[in-house]
Amino acid sequence: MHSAPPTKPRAGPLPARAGIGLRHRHLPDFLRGQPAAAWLEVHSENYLVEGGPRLAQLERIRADYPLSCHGVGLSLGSAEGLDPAHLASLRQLYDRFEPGLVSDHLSWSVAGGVYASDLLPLPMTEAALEVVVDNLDRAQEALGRRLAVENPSNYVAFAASTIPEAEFLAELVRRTGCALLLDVNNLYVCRHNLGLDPAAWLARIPGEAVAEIHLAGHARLEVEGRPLLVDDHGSRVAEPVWRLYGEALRRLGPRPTLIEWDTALPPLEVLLAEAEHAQGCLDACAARPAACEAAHAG
Amino acid sequence: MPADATTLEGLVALQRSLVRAVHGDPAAFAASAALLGGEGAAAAGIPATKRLFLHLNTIDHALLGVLRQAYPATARLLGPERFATRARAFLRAHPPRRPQLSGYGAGFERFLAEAEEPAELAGVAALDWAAQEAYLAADWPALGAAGLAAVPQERHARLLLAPVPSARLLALPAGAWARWAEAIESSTVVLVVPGGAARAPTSGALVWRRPDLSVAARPLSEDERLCLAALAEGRPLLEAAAQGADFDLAALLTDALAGGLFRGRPPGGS
Repeated sequence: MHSAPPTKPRAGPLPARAGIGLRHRHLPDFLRGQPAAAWLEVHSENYLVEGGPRLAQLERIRADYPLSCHGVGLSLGSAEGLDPAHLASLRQLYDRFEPGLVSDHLSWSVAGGVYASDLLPLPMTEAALEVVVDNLDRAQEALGRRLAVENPSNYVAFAASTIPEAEFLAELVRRTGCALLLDVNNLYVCRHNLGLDPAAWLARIPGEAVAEIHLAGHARLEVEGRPLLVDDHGSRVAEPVWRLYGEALRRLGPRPTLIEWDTALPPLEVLLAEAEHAQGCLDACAARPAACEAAHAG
Repeated sequence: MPADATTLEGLVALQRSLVRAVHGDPAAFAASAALLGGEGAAAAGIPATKRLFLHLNTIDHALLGVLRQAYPATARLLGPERFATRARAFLRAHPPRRPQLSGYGAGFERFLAEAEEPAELAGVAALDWAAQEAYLAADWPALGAAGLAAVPQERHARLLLAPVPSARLLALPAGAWARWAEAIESSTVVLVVPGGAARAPTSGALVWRRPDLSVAARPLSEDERLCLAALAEGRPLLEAAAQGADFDLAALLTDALAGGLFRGRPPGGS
């Protein structure tokens, strides 16, 4: 990345407003004009390339928007540790683009030198907690930044799990100083699929650590006649998820909120309309915290 | 069989088993599913194997998409079903090692050749991969006409013209270039029609990224390819030009300079 143009410092926290995920198909909209998104988020690994159009385009768009970099490949739950080369690549990317927030997931994807391009579930055990704490310490040191850790969407749970997810996350915050990325859709998916209690979950996490919120659509699959929710990021945010978002805002106050959409990507206007909806919730919350839930009660 | 997930060693074993499971290893899949539990709410009653299969399916779908994107002309020529069969076999044999999936898929052309697909198709795949690599390669300023003009004429024979980092030189089986040129979309790669007089048969190709960031490809005769290969090895222009008599050096250099093929001075370089 030797040809990076000189950049002026532009780091700073994300605004507590609604942003959208920047996807390849929408790049022309952002290169032609300046669509009304308060901030943008990209998947870090898509930009871990040596050069070419991707980095040049992001450089240009970065000049106009606050940026969040969301990783999918750190594999914070890997019992065999983190890949130093991957950390170094991320550090180079983050130093160049100076995102207001960097994040990854409470999951893992690498074992025995093989990468699974999915966010795989961790057993919620003391051993796993030690692993994630060690990995987070190492990652935050190598990246020179505080990481926000996202709660996962799960379809399976392990019989060996003993620590509730919210307590696991709270302990990560306490021991490593990391931030949290609250994915409200994931919370809803886990409620349906695994019986997680969102109200208890929200009450247990350290609210002040939540640096960003994700909202996305999910799909409903029928498996052997029973419904299973899949976090496919392929539709509008479901109404129960909006209500849960309202509850989260009431507890947490306004936080930077992202509309994630990855599959069956619609025109940019649809994402911007979803972001406008989220912005309405944020505005209502800022004006009168109790209004957040009321805004979605009907 | 994965060990006790409450210890570090057990967690290592569980993850190694599970990663094999979601890449399609049946024994690891059964062993991993046996460790699952904790069903709750509406999903209760859905067998663990079915729920674990969601991860396998997600990974298959994602990686097939990655390969389809990296090998667009190959996918078009093979057709959706045959491409999916070959791609799935490739990812079972060569799962990704790193999360930078834009780099995943190297070696698919060799895999196709070993799978007894026609050599022509393996050549098409090699061209697809060269275009993918060129698109993502490191940036480097190109030597332009002004840069070349600044070099005194008497030094031209000793010029060292190194290709930019995105440049890929390929030797191709007969027919591969023509099939690829028909199948690749113009929005993906700009096909350069060689200038100059009558040409020797195409037996290779040059693929590179131009200064405007578009990926370009130009067919090469054997002598043209040998000349560019000699330049890439660091041999001076006069020596590289002597690689063959059956090509139009001026036409090749004109196309190369117009497309920013050769390295100019790096930023801050002397």
